[in-house]
Amino acid sequence: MIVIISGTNRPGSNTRKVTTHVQAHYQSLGVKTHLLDLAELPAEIISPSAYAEKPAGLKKFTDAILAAEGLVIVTPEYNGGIPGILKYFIDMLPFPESFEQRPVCFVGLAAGIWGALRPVEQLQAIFGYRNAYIFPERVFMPGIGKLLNETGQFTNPDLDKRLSRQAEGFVGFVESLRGKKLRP
Amino acid sequence: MIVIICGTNRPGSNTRKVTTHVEQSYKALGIPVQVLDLADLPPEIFLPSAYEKTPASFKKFIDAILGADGLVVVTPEYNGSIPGALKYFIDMLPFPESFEQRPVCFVGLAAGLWGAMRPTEQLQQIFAYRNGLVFPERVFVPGVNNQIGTDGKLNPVMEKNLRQQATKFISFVEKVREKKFPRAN
Repeated sequence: MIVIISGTNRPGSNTRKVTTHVQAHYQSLGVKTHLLDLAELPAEIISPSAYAEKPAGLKKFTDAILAAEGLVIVTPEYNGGIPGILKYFIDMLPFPESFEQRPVCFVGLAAGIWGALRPVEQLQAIFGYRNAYIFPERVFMPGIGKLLNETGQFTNPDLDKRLSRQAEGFVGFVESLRGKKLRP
Repeated sequence: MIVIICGTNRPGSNTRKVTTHVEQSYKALGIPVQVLDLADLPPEIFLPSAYEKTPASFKKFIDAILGADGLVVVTPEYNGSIPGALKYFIDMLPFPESFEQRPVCFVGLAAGLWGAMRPTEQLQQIFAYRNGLVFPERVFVPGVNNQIGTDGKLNPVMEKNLRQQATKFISFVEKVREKKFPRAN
């Protein structure tokens, strides 16, 4: 199972649209996927008491992460950094088992020309700190406003190629590390 | 007015304790200060709808930031970086007026030996992106559990570092804002 995280809770985000494309690429490889959308985080998670006692509504997120053979994080760039909500989600997950030796892969998208390079590299630092297995091939999507049409489809077929190549590479990486096949 | 941001919403945090010491070092100079504690953030701010429509209860935070001559951000280190709650708070503030040309100063604290160097440098990057006027002299508090006594008192060396930072930051703010704060003698 590959868990794909849509890294913002902002309604109608481009991140959510790109996440659907990412998921489709894993599905077309015959790999089981599960999508976690941060827009569905339970409201109680942000109560200060959540540091000490996790709200029941978070359990399905935690369970998905702990069961994941690999994680794919799709992140936008907010204020030159990771969305606060994505970092907050990371802060709320159990330590250290959530990320320790778990393969992880990154997709970044942004309106500007840097294509979320900064949040992706911040995430690599964070996952490095958490002893995750970081898949080195990232996909960046600068100028995302022009890359998606009104129906949420990519306007440039090159993006599908890049996501497809990343998905294949990442599944191979996970299979090697886990010593098991994810593809039929 | 100097606004001091306690950079986590975790109850009973060391960050909150250090924030009090930071506040005292400005008060000792006679500078008006206001503390913004992220533990007091209204729950509605975390609703996805808050991106479009800022909840009314968040206004006092926005007003404090927009009225600040300078900001002091006190941050712990969570997972080798900025607390999510602090970044979320930054994401919710009005763009660009919240930080554009606004002086900002950093204090980092952590249980480990790096003393929140990573989140502080990430914050410097974020505030630079937002055209904040980043004050270069930072204070790091590594091994924070050994720096604060059970009575809440801070190691005198750290106390001195904070006082020094406050004095220099005020002088920086006065220069870039072209104004004078009333000073205590």
